[in-house]
Amino acid sequence: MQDMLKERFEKDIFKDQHEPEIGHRNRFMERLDQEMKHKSEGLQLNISFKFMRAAAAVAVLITAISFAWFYDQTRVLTPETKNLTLADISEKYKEVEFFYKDQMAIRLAQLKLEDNELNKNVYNEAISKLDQLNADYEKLEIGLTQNPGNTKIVYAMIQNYQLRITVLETLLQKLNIKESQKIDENEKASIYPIFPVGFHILPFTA
Amino acid sequence: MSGNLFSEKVIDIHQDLIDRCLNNDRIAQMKLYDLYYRAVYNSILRIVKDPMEAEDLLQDSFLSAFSNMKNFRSESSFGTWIKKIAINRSLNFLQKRSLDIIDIPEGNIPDQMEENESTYDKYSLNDISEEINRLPDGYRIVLNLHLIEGMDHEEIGQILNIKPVTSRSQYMRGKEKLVMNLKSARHARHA
Repeated sequence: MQDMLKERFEKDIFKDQHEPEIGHRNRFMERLDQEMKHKSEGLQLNISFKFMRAAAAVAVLITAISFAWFYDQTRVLTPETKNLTLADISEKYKEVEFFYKDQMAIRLAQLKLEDNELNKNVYNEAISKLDQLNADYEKLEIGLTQNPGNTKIVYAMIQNYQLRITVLETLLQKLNIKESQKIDENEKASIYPIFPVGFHILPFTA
Repeated sequence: MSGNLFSEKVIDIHQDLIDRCLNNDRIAQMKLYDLYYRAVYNSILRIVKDPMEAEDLLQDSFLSAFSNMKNFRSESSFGTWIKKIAINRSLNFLQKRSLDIIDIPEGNIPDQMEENESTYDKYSLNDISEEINRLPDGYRIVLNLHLIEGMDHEEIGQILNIKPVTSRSQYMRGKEKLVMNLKSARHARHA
C-alpha cells in the first residue's frame, strides 16, 4: 500500500534543523574528561572498567537493599495516579534501573537481522517473551505502588530486568551477531552480576 | 531508509575513527561527536521536546556509545547505532515521566484510509510536523519514528517493545487523527 505521507517526508532533507544551546561541545568535553578520568583511575588499579561498573552496580544495589530493609513502611506517599517504578523509591534504585535500561538499550541497538524466515521466527519468539516479561513488570509496578519499598517486589523487578537482558542476549547469540566478538567469560558474567538467584549478593558485603 | 533492520553489513565510512575510539582516543571521540551530534540531537528533541533535557540525553548517549564501543559491530553504521541508543534513552526518559507511549485504543483499526496525492499537498512539511507534535504521545512517537527516523514497523516494535502489528495500527490511527487535525486547523485559519 502506498503511503503518501511517508513519501512526502522522504523528500525532506531539512529535518535536522535544531542546534543545541551554544557551548554544548565544551560541556560535552567536560563530561567526557570526567568519564575518562574515572576510567584511567580504574586502569591504574589494574581493574577493567567493566568490572568497575559491575562492582559499582553491586555496591549501589547493596546500599539500596539495606535502605529498603529499613525503609519506613509507614511513610505516606503523595497520592499519585501512576504506578511506582524502581526509580521512584530512591535515587539509588533510580541508578540501578537506569543501569539495566541502558544495558537493554545497548543490546536493542545491536539487533540487526538478516532477512530470512528462521531469523524472523527467532525474533518473534524473543519479542513475545519480552512482551510477557513486560506484562509481569507492569504487575510488579502495581504491587510496588501498593507496598512501597517492599524488598521482595524490588528483587522481582530487578530479576525481571535481568531476564529481559538474558532474552536479548540469547536472541543476539542466536542471530550470530556476536560470533566474532571476543567477550571473555568473566566479563560476560559481570554484565549482570546481581542476583543470579535471590540472595547470592550477600557474600559481596563481606 | 526503510528496512534498516534487515539491511546488509555496512562498512562505516568512519571506520578509522571508530577503531581509535576503541582505544579511548579523545580526539577521535570528539570527531565522531562533531559528525553526529546534530542528527542525534534532533532525533532526541523530536521525542522529548525540551532542549535542556535533549542536551543531557545527547551527552548520555555519546558517553554510553563510547564506553560500549566494543559492542558496536558493523551491522549498521555508527550513525544508526548511536541514534538507536539515543532514541531508546529518550523513550525511557518519557516513560519515566509517566507518559503512556503506547496506548492501544479500542475499536476498529483503519487498514486503509482515503488518501491521495493531494491529501498532503495543501500543507507544508512544517505544518505537518507541528501537527504531529501536537498529537498524543502514543501517536506522536510512532509517526515520528516511522516518518522522520525512517524506521519500519519491525524496528519500531522492537524499540517500543510492542508487536510490529501494534505499531502499524497505531501509525494508521495516528495518521487518521493527523489528517483530521490538519483539516480543522486549516478551516480555523480560513474562517
